[in-house]
Amino acid sequence: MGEAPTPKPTLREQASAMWKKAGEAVTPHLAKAKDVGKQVVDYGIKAAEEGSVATLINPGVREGIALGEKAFNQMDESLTAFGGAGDRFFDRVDQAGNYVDYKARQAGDSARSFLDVSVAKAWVAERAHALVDHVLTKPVDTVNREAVAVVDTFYTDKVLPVLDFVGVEDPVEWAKTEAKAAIAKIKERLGKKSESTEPAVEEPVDPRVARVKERTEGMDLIKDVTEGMEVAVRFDQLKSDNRDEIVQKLLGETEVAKKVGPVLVDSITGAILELANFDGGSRIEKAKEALKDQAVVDALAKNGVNAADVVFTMLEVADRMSQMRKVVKESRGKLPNTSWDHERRLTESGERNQEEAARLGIKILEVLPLTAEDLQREDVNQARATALALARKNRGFIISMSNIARSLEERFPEKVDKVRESWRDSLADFFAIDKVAEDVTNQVDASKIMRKAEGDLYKALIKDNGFFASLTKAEQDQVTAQLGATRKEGINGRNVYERYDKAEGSLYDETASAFAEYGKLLAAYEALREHVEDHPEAAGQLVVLAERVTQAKYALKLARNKMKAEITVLSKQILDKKEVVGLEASHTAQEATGRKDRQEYYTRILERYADRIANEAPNVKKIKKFLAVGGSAAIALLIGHESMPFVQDQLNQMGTEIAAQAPEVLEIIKQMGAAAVREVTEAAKFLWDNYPMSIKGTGLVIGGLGITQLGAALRERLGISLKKQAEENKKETEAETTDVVAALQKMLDTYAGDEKGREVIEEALAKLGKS
Amino acid sequence: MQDDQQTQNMNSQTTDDFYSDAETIGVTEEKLKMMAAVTEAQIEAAENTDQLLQEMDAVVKEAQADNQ
Repeated sequence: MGEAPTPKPTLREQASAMWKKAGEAVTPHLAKAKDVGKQVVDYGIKAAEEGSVATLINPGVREGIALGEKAFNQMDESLTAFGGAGDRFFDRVDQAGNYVDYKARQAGDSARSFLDVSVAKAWVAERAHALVDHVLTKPVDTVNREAVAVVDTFYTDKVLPVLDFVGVEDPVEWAKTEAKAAIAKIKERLGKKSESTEPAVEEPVDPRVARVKERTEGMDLIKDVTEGMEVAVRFDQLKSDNRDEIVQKLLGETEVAKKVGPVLVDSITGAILELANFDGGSRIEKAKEALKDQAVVDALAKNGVNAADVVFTMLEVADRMSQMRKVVKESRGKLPNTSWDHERRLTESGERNQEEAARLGIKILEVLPLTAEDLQREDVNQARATALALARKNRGFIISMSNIARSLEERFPEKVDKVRESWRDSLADFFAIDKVAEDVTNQVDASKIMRKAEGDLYKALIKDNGFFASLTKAEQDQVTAQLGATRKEGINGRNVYERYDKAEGSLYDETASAFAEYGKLLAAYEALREHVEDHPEAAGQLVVLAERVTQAKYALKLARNKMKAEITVLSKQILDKKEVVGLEASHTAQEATGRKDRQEYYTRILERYADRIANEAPNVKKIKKFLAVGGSAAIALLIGHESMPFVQDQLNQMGTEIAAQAPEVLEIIKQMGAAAVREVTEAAKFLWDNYPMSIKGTGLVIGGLGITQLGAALRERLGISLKKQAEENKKETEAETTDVVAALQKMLDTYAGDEKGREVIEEALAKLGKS
Repeated sequence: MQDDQQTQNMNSQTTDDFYSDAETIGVTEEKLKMMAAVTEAQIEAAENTDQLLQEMDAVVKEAQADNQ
């Protein structure tokens, strides 16, 4: 008795193994990221030893690294949760790691060049701006969003105080006017060529971008989070060690202090803090003593200031401090430790993403023509690339808005409904644009389009077909009935759509639907394009429509070819029968009909096609492509089509022959097929869920052709060359096979509640021996 | 105290679920990529049928020759 065969791992087990493998692969990358982080800290410490400015920067570097590590961890979690995209993840970790590494080395080098204050000022400005520019000009992804946050923190918390510390009163203005000269000085010191000091010419802002910016800034959600923020941010700077400084600044703005001078300010600062309940102890008592000091008494008397004026001034400043605290407490709600920097970063990141999305949307509008009739494949390709970047910006915006809303909910749990309403309003365009696309498409008069479609169909495909025209009227009716259009009795000379009864699901119906779908999308395109002119940030939807138009255009071409072939074959059958009977050939009319029936025509057509393919040199790519179309046929059959049974026969025949001649190649082909079917399965399911019957039917035709081609090509050419090529690609296909499991697992999860969808995927797997 | 923590956790979970749904609105990268794949497949399929028609013409001619 033999050993029981080892049970095959389940799909879930295979997926789990793949993720484990992915996790193992990720670990060194994360370790590298953390190691790079440590290097940055080391550089920061080294820099701290070399100058006071670097000392100030050092905590910023540490904070940056902490955020960086957090970003990596979040990225790891989110990409794991997202499922797949391993390569992209590795790329991003590498990119982030290299970037941090580069910046760390740059920081170390620059720290050594801190020779005087002006150089330090210039360095800080240059590095901060360069960092911001660098990040902002790159596509925003998970890493870069976090990088922006790091830069913002660095700039706000560290750069501006440094500039203030070294005596720059208005850092922003200073950066604009003086930074260039200072930067040139640094470069001169470092022996580099200085850049032109010509002021940069500002590009005019497109009014469409300006409108989007205004809309974003005017959103309630943004207002909710920014309200009180500025005061609160200033208040946050009131750390215990600089409260005196803030009070002194406020005091300095009062008339009394201006008159009396520092001697008074120094005396009452502590008392004001105690009055405002910032400090306990005996500071008021101390102030009383200080005010009795002869120097203070003399100063008051000399400037005509009495004790009441001093008290009122103290109360005024204390009140301002209390008000500031009140605003902060209220705005923090239930979260006393809210980070305003974090909130501000979210807001700014959202606004920036939306603005950049608008710019990308305008680029898309420039690429896509005004009417769908003018739409070319190249336009769609170009728009598609920009749309991917736009989708990332949009997602960044949506995530920012969601995070703002989450924060507001946590701070003010009693206002959840209001926050969610604001959130919905802020994303209304995203909901609306989907609806607009849908409405625009649905608003097209379907019956009118269909009537025109039937007219176009008849004129373009039926009426002008030479074979069809050779038939009698009764024979023509026989052909059109076989196509699915039965002539109505007693209705002649009217429009095509009135003359025929259309059989649902017939070739005539499918082809007319393809005409109608294309016509409908042509009309929808123009309307949606006009809408997107006002909402360029939502141009992705226009690209989706452009894709649909292109798909419909080629679906129509395919449908026309199908119809043309069918009309020719059906008409020719009748003509052949007549010829045979007329010539009194040796065959009987019945035999002739049998010999030249429709099935035989198609078999001969497909065989010729397959032969031609077989005579071309096969390669792995071509075989894979054939398998892909074969896979689509299998899917098409699984999801309901019952015609073309020869597809299954061809599959079986092909498998048997290959297994006999080269079993190892069969294994490799199965792996390639799995990868191909993976792609096609997803495409077929997507297509099935989103498209009309006219387009769904195309999978069947493609599949039929593909399998026939494949069978013939493999039978003819399954030799050493293929084997060699296949072996060379074995590693690649093994990796792809692993992806299949993940992709199908993802699909199974996605369609967990869809019994039909699940059956389809599981059956597809079973066919490939992957159940 | 423990109840408060549980309530807070529940609220947090609900909040996350609510907003995480937001990421599916609009045109996502995944949707664009899938649309692009379908477009390319559709174009290829249509162009394949041009070749099919050429073979059909040849078969029709062969059939005509057989009958003569």
